[in-house]
Amino acid sequence: MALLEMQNVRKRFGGLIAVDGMNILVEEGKIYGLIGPNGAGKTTLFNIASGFYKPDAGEIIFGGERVTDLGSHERCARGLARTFQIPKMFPEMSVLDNVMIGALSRTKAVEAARRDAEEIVEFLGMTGKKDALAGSLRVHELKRLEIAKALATKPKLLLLDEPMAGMNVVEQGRLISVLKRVHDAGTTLLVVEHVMHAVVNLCEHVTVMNSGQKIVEGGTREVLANEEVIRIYLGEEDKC
Amino acid sequence: MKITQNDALVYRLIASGSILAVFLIIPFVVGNYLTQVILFGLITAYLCGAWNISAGYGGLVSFGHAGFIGIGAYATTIPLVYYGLPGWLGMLLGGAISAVFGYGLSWAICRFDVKGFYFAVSTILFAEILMSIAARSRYLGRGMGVPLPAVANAFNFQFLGVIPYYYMALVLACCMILITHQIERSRLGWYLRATRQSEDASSALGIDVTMVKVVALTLSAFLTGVGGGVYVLALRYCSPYDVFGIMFSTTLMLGTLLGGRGTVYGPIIGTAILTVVKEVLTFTAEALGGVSSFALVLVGWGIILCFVAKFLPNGMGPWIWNRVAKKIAV
Amino acid sequence: MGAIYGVLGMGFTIVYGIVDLPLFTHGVFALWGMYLLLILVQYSGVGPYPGFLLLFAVAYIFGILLYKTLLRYILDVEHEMQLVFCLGLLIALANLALIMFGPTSLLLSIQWLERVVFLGEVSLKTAMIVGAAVSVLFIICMELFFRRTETGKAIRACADNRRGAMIIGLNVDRMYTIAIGISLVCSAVAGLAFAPLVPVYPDLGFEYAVLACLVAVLGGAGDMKGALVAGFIMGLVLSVQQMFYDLTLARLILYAVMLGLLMFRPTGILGKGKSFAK
Repeated sequence: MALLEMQNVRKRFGGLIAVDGMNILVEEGKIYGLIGPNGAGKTTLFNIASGFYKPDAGEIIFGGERVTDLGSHERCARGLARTFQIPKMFPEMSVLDNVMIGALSRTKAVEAARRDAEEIVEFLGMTGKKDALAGSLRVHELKRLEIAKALATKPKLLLLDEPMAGMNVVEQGRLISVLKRVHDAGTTLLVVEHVMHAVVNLCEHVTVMNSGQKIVEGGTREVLANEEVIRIYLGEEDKC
Repeated sequence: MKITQNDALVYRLIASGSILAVFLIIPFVVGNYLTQVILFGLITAYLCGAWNISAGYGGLVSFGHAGFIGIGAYATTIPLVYYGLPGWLGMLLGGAISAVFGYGLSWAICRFDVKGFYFAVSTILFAEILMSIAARSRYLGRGMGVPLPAVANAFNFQFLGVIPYYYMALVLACCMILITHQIERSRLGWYLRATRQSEDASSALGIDVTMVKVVALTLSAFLTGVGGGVYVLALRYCSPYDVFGIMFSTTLMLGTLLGGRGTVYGPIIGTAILTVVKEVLTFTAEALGGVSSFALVLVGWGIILCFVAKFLPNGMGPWIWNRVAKKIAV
Repeated sequence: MGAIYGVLGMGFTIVYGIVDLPLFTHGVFALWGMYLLLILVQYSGVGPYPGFLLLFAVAYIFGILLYKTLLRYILDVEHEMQLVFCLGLLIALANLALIMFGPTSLLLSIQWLERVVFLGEVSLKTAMIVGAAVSVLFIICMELFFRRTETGKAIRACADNRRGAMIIGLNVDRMYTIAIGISLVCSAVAGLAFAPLVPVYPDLGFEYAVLACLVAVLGGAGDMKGALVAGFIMGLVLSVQQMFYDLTLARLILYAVMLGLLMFRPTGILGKGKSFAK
């Protein structure tokens, strides 16, 4: 069942066409990757999918419903959540409180939200830090918090914006297993990523973007072996 | 000595109860002048609380809340003086009209993405424009304002003495505490805090940021408008330079910031400190002879504002609380 | 008149654009300039124009002091608190003036400045001409300073990119100091240019402060040329209003326009101002 469909999405900024007729299909239950060199338009597409930008043309269909005109908070209510590449949290609140904000999108009762939040914090292995102020956390902890907050909104589809950025290999490895657990628990994932070993380890299905257009898509192994993909990435050999 | 949840609750109830009791008997214990000072202090604390909702919790720091005070004030005064509309009805009317303005203002802000500095300046202009209109309008009493008749008409909320107004103010202040407390615990309160700290994160977590801001400002406007009505009834005079003035706006800001923005008791603590400072400075000014007390108070407040902005942005309330909490929980 | 308004706005623009501090107190600084000039002239018999130069120096020094003792420490405070601080400063200084100089308005009257000159149909006080001339001269100096001299360019570099400037070895602190000193001289210029033209009373400080902000925002906060253009427009609008209605209405219309502008076009007339950085 197609969870997210982006049809012929187009977006330009002034003279620059960032996204040029992109089509994406995300099926429920899988882990998808969106890769491409810098400036390919991945983040723009990501922001359009999550509702932070409005496309100039094209449609976005989520769960069979046309959400193109809906704002990000409305999409979240329908089960489409996202994380930010540079984590945006509520610095003056504790970890638990941060997650509670997410949980409050599903229930009005503060106590119930707190219980939900505690479960999620536990699931992500952050119980020890649950009372720490979000502003005092380190990068990899913040990344986890990003995911925890988004999870608390009980999404069907979770969009992740370069989750591996800014972390060392060990931390990345841990995050990969966290994401796998999230997926196993029933959430579909779409990950925009640069770090290739993460893409290989995590994603079953990958779309390659360049200059705003889809170049190729398919199973991870085949795509990464594709000649054109390798050519596009020639300047970034060290990542493969 | 660790205090349990239950113990803490009991202590809090006892403390609140006794403070309330003290306030209840004040008019009978102290002289008229002091009662009046405390009366207006309570009204100010109430107004600070109203500002606190949109600014302390919601992060919409307006420098021109006096605009709403003035609307409430005139909405109470004019119908009362010209048409005999009862005071309490005027208050509600004032609140309602303020709410409309608050709604419009917040809508405009969200629509045009007005933030920070520009928002502050917009609100100042808002108050100033209203002040100019009131000061020019013959119907509204021009620059001199409109005096309220000194009659005793309980139904109209007009009293001769100070005492009834005192209790009105006390009721208001208590209501504000209850309202703020409720908001803080509710989902709205959480959403307000979240929106203030990060609009993007909030939006991504399902919070309709526009809605939150609109609700915050409209609610605050309503409450402020009602307060404006009470103020003018108690003062028995409605003057545009007073009710719309920057001094009033600043008082609200200072009271809340000094005591602790985004807290339930902050505005009260702040107002208490301010009132004391004001009285002390007024006394000093008179002792020095020839020095305008109004100006000296403002200078004092200006300095306090600067101090708070840099060193105690969260206010004295939390600062005191931290010290106390450290001593208790060991 | 427009030129003078422009200079007034420039003071604010410089600080907001370069140091990124919304210091909206320049109107009050101008007021103090006016008062000091009055005292100077009245008590020491120094002619007004040498007085000007002296006060410029005083303004500059005051600006440096202000930065070193106060402003430097609020640069990294959160945005809302910066606003609050500036408000506090504004109120304190404005009322200090009220205390020191009293609420009644004072007039600076010097014979040859009062004379009226006729240019065709329009009558102008000499004072106005002089004021305008001084302002324009000042503006030209500023232009030259910021565009031609090393220091000027360095300051502009700091405005554009603070970290970058630090990396290449510019002493950002010193640049800010100079910038603020200059902005205070702007206030002084404006204030002094106005001094012979209007009765001086304390509330003027607040009025001018708002005017300065208006001009700056109208022209696009952070853009100096814009501030000038805005100043001229403002001057025009106010003069026209003054002829037909009373001043309150003029202000009211101005405020309303400003409000609308803030909502619709925050980058100002020339579109080059800073848009909302929260």
